[in-house]
Amino acid sequence: MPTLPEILDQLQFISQEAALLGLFVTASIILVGRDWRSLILALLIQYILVGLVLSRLVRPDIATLKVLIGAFICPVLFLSARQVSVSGLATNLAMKPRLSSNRSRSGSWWRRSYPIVVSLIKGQDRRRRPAATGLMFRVFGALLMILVAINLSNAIALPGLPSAVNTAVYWLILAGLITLALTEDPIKVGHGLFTALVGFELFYATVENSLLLIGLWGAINLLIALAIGYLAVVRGTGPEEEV
Amino acid sequence: MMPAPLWLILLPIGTVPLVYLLRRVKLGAILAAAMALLLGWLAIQLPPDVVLNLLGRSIELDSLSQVMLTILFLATSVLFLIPLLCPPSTSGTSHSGVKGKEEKIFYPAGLAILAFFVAASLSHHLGITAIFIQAAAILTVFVIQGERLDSTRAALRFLTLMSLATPFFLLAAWRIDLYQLGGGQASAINLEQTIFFVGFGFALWLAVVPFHSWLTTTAAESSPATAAFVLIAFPIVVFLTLIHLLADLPLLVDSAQLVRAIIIAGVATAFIGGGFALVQRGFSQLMGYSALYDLGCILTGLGLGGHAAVITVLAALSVRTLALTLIAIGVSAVRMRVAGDGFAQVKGLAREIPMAVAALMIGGGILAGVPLLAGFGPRWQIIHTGAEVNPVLPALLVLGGLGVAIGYLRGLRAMIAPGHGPARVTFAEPRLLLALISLLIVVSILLGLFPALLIEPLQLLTMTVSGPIQ
Repeated sequence: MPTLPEILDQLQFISQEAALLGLFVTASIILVGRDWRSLILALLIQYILVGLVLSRLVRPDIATLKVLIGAFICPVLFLSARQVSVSGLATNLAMKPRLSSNRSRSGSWWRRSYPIVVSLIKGQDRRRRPAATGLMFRVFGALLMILVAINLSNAIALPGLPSAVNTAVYWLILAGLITLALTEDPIKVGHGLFTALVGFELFYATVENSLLLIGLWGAINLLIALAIGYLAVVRGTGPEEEV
Repeated sequence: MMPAPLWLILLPIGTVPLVYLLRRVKLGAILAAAMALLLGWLAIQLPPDVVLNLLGRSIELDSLSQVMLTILFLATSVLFLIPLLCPPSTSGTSHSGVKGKEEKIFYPAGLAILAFFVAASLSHHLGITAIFIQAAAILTVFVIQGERLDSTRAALRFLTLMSLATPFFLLAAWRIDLYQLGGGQASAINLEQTIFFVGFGFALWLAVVPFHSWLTTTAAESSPATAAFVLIAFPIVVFLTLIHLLADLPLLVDSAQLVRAIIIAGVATAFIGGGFALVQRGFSQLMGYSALYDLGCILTGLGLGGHAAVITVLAALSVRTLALTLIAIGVSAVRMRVAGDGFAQVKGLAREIPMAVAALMIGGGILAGVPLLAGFGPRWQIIHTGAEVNPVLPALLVLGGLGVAIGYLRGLRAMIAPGHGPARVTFAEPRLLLALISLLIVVSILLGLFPALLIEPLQLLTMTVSGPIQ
């Protein structure tokens, strides 16, 4: 079985520009998407892409470490989000059939399963969502941030980084910050925060030589994931909260 | 042999498992408070010492850290006792859903947070300090949230803003390392970047407007004791880090840009904090905004500099600690009687819990800088120094202070107004609580009448520390 550095080595055919495109997609999903599965998958791919970019800029073991940290963060978020989702789904299913129990019993399998399928695609949304931050708003926000990131990378070039990586750093930080500004759901906040932090790390790993600091920062990232997981579970089990 | 300052880290960490096991019984709170008290005594008794060198920078206990940590430990020991002395009302949940169970995790987590703060205070490397403060912030999330299920807003905002600050400090530390490796030569652009990173990071840590939401939501949503802990502990450690940084790097102080930014940030925070305090409708929210006002004043005092700046900051942080402890006791006592602390809920309470009301008013008065109370001395010093720089500065600070004072007077008016709800059973404040409130009130008035009682010991303890900004 290939090791993680070997996998990263095999992925070297992906150019930095292609990785940047990938990061545009993953961070856009995190910014726009609502389903927790797609968010976590996007975050994991984001960590892999960042590791791939870093493997050409810093020592391969540091790039591998970044991917590993991402690979630990995502399961923490996954388990928390899944627990919340399962309890939420159970609540919804316990409430709805009571209202239309007769119809459900006589309906087809598809009619009974339809609400579950829709919730899997659109995500569980038990909260009141302000109309101002709806789907179109977030799509426009993502497009605007892409433009800002491209302009910023042209105007303020970060030292020692190729142009594509420069744009990636700005894009990830901006996408993360705007995600943070648009939500108060812990899982989504976690994704926004980690997107912004991974953008910072993409730059920081290339300039910081101290392994101690890089290691400590990695440990802090894991602890942040645990805290966010805790808050997600707390919020998921609590009563509805107005945003 | 182990360096003596490391005991300040090992003792609280070693006590955490025991306190965790005992957290649901009174002994847990008493043990945690006793440990914090012991740490306070140790911090002032230990000789200043270099522990080790890390990344080219010393890890040491200096006299400034000793004083700051002592204040922090003593305040924490009192805060650990508040949930014990003031069990909250069981008649329902308050507006913020506080149910009174949230303190259980406070004792063990609080001790671990203190250990992280000691580690952060000992380190003179900005990156390491930032990592330790971030670790403390992550643990604080559990303290702020407690066992509440209704809202995660405060904990989430706190975690987010603290986590966003750390990268700025890591980048600043990288820049500072480059500067020191380069033999103290910094280009203008490097200096500008360092100032930007440092300024932005401290703005997030110190809840400078518009990054103040972690502070005000924590005050509004968390239980009074844990909120006061966060509002006291983080500013103490952050100011200590800022003073260390400015003292270690004179090139930052030479930048008029940074000094001006500190003053403007401080005055804006104080003015806006005071303005918002004026219109609050509950004591928890009022505590948050009045603490924000006070933080702005202290930041202004540091930015204005002068030979007495460090003493002024130390005195201001000491009286802030006293004030927030009094307010936390007052709000906790209010919540013993009614489910919430909104002005609409506290009508008529002045007759039932007069000492708690006095604690609230005196605490608020200290934060507002009211004459004859402990907060007046440091505030007068800041206003006096500010007037020499720009006459608008003291005017804005005084206006902010008026906002805080009027906010508390509105609260007092609500408490002395006759209650219109069903008659409550007769209630007597617990004797230990009365003794604690009386002691703190006497100290507040004594320090107001004789500020030298506080200033002179602080001067003696920090004789070797000079103000970073002259």
